[in-house]
Amino acid sequence: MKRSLLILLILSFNLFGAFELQQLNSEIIGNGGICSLHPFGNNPAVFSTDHKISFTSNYTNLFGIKDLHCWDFGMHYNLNDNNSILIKSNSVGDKVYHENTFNIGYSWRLNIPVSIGISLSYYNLSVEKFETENSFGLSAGICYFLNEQVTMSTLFGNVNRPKICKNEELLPEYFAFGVKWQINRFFELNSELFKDTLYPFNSRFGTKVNLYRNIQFFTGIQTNPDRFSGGVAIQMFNIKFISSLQTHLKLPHTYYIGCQFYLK
Amino acid sequence: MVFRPSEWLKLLSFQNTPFQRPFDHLKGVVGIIILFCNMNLSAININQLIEDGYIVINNENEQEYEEILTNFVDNPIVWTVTNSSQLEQLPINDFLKNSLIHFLKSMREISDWESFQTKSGFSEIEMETIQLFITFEDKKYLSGKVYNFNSLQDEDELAINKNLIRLKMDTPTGWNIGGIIERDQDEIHVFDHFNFSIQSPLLFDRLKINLGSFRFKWGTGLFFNTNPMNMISNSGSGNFYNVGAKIQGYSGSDENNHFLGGSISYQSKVASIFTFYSMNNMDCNIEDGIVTSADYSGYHVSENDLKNHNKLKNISTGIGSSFHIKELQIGMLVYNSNFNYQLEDFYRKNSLSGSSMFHNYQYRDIYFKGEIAYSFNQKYAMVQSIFYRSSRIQTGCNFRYFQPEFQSFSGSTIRHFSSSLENEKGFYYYMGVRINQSTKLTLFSDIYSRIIPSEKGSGIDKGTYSGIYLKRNLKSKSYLEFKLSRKNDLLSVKNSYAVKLKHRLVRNLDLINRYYFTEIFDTNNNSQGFSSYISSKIREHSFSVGTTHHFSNSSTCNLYVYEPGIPLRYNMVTLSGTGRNYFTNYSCQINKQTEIFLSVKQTSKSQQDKYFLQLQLLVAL
Repeated sequence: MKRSLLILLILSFNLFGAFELQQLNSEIIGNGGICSLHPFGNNPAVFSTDHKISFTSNYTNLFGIKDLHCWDFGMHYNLNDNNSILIKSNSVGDKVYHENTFNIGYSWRLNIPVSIGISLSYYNLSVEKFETENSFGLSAGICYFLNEQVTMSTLFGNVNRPKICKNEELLPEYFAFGVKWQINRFFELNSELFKDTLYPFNSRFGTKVNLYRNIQFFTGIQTNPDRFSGGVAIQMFNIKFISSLQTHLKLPHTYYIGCQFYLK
Repeated sequence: MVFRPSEWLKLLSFQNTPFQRPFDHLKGVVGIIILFCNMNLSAININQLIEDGYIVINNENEQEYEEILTNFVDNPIVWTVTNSSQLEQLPINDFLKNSLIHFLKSMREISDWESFQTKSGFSEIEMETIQLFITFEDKKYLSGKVYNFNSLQDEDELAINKNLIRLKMDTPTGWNIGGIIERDQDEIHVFDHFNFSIQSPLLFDRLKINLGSFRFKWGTGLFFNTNPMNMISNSGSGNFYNVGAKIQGYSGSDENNHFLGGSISYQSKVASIFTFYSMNNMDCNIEDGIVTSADYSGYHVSENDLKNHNKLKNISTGIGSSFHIKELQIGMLVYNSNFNYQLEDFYRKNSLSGSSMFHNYQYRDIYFKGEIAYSFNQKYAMVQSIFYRSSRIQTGCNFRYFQPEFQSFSGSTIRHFSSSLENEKGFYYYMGVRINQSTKLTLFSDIYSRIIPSEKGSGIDKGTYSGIYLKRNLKSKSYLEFKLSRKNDLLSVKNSYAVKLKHRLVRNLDLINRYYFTEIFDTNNNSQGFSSYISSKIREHSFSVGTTHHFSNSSTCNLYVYEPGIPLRYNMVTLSGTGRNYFTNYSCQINKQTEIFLSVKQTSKSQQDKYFLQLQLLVAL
C-alpha cells in the first residue's frame, strides 16, 4: 500500500492511529457508527441478555484501498444474569503498516437499573523496517436503563491516555454518550454524541427497522465528517448475516460484511 | 503533572510544606471560631434546589452568590407578617414565587408547615425551597455560622487556589455581626481581603445603625447596585426588580463593590429617613494619573495588580427617604461621590453626584415599578416597568432609557452596550405560563439600540435578544428542559441551545445530562458542551460524580456550564478550547451543627491537566 494513501487515510480520521476509532463491525457501521450502545462496540457496560454466547466476525476493505484488509472478531459471553465478558480482536492494514487490537472487557449489571463495565485493550503496531510498538488502554462505561424503551450509555475510552511509538504518539482518548429508544418492536432509534478529547464533537444517528421477522434494515448518519451509512441483516436460525455500506466525502465507499452466531 | 495526594493532605493538616505559612495563620483562626457553636444548616439542600431551578439568583456573579443566598437563608421571612413585595425578592423561580404570593393572600394565618403544605398543595421539593426562606416564628437567639472554604490546585506545582473564612453572628437582641478573610490564587498576602460589619436592631423602635462594610441598594440600580454584571437575568421577573431602599451589613468576598463607613436610619410606620457615609478604597487601572477603568476582579498577583490595589479612594455620602402609603412606596435620594483621581470614563471628573426617585405600586395583581435618576451634569436615566402576576401567568414589559453622558459609577441594570449606564434605550418583554401541572413555558424578548451613534459618522447600533425556555416535569421527579436564545446585533447572529434531562433512576439516584450548543453565524464560530453526572443523597450523605466535555473554536463562543460543586460557591464554569473535566463531590452533615463538603476535580484542556481539591466546612455556632 502506498504511504501517501496511508497518510490520507489517517488524516481522514483526524487521529494519530486508527485504533479503536474505526469501527469494523458491520452492524455498528450500518447504524451510523454508534459505538457506545452495541454489545460489540467499545462500551464494555453494554449488556446483552438475549443470548448466552454471541460470536461476531466482520471483514472490510477500507475505501477499497488495495491490500487494506480489516478483520474483526468478537465473543460476548453472559456468565449469568448480571455478569458478562467480552473478548474482541481486530486487525487493520497490510505488511507495510499493520495495527492489531485485542480487547477484553467485563460488565456487571447492578441491582439498580445500571450496568457498569471496564475493558483493557492491547494495541500493537508494526511498520515495516521499524520496531513493533505496543500499548495498553483502559476504557470504562456505564449503561442506564431508564425504562423498558430507553437506554442511555456513557463511554470513557482510553482514560489512561496510552501512548505509542516510544511514548511520543498519543492514542485517542474519547468519550461517547448514546441514547437508544426502542419505539416499538419494529423500530429503534439510536443517537450518539462522540468526542475525541482533542477534537470537535461528532453527532451520530441511526435507525434499525425490523421489517420482517428475520430481516433488519439499518440506516445511519454521522456529522463532522459527514457520512451516510446503511445496511441489511438477514437472520437464519442462530446466524445473522450483515452487509453494510459507509460513504466518505473524498474517498470511495466502504463495504462491510459480517456474521453473528448465537448460542442460547 | 504528577498527582500528589500526600502533599494535599499535608497542606490540609497544616504540616510543614513550602506553603505552611499562610495556613499556619489560618489554623489559629479556624481553631478559635469553631469553639463557638444553633442554627439550622441547609447547604446540602441548596445545591440540589439550585440544580433543579427552584432557587434562582438574578445576574449571578461569583462574588455575590454566597452572600445573596446566605443573607436570605440566615434572615428568613416571617410568614404571618410578610407582604408580597418581600416575597417578590426571594431568590426562587417565578412560578413558585407566583404561587406563594397568591397563597399569602388567602392563608396568612397558617402557623405550621403541615397545614401549609396541605392547603397550598406545594410539592415536596417546593416545600423544601420555601422552608429555607420562610419561618413562622420570629424568635431571636444567639446564633451564627462559620464558613471555611479552602481550594487547592495542582498544575505545574501545588498551590493554594483560594481560601476563605466567613463568620456571621446574630444576637438575641437583634445585632448582626459579620466578617470575612479571603485570599485568592497566588496572592501574596494571607489576609488579602478582609472586612467586618455590624448591624444594629431597631433601637428605641426608631433607629438602625450600620458600621463597617455595608451594601446600599437603591431602586432598580441606576445609581447603586451590588452586581457589576448587567446582562438579562435568567429569571424573567428579575428584570423587573426594584429593591426599594436597603442598607445591609456586608461580609462577602467582593473586594470593591461595597461601602465602608456607617449609616443611620430613622424609621416610622410610613416613612424612613437615612444617611450614609463611606470611605472605601477600590482597585483601578491608572495611567498618567487618570483612572482608565475600575478593576473589580479582586486579584492582586501581578506587580500591576498590587500597584493598583486600593488606589482609588471613594468618599461617598448620601441622604434619602422612603414613604409607604398602603400599596405605594416612593423613595428619594441625593448622593455625592468624590475620588482622589480623575475618572477617564466620566470626562475626567473626580466628583459625581445625582438624585434619584423610585416608586413601587401594586394594584391587585399588577405591579408598577420604576426609577428616574438625574446626574448633576443634567442628564437622566430611567427604568419603568409594569408587571402582572396570576397563579398561572406572569407577564410584563420594561422600558429603559439612559441618556448619553448620564453618569453613574456603581449603577447596574439590564443593558447590552458599554460598561457604563449611558446611551442606550430598550424595551424588554417577558411572559411565563404554567401550561399545565407539569409544563412551564417562558418567553422573553429585548429590543435595544443606542440613542446616538457611539462614534461620529457611524450608524446607530441596535439589536434584539430573545429566548424561549420550556420545562416539562416527567414521572418521579424527572424533568426535561429546553432553552433557546438568539441575539442579533447586526454585526452577528448568535444562537444558543441547551437541553437538560434529569432522570430518577431509583430512589435517591438521579442521572443528569446537559447539552449546550452555541453558534455565531457569519464568523462560523461555534461551541458544544456535554455534561453527564449522577447525583445521590442518602440520609446525611450526598455525592455527585460526572464529566463535562467541550469544544469551542473561538473565545467569542465560550460555554458557561453548571457543574455540581461545593454548595454556596459559584459553580458555573467557563469552558474554552477543547477538553474535558472529571469531577466528584461529597457532602456530609456530621451533626446539626456541622456540614463538610469535599470536591475533587480534574480538568484537561489541550493535554494540559489541572487538579483541584476543595474543602468547605460549615459550622453553626
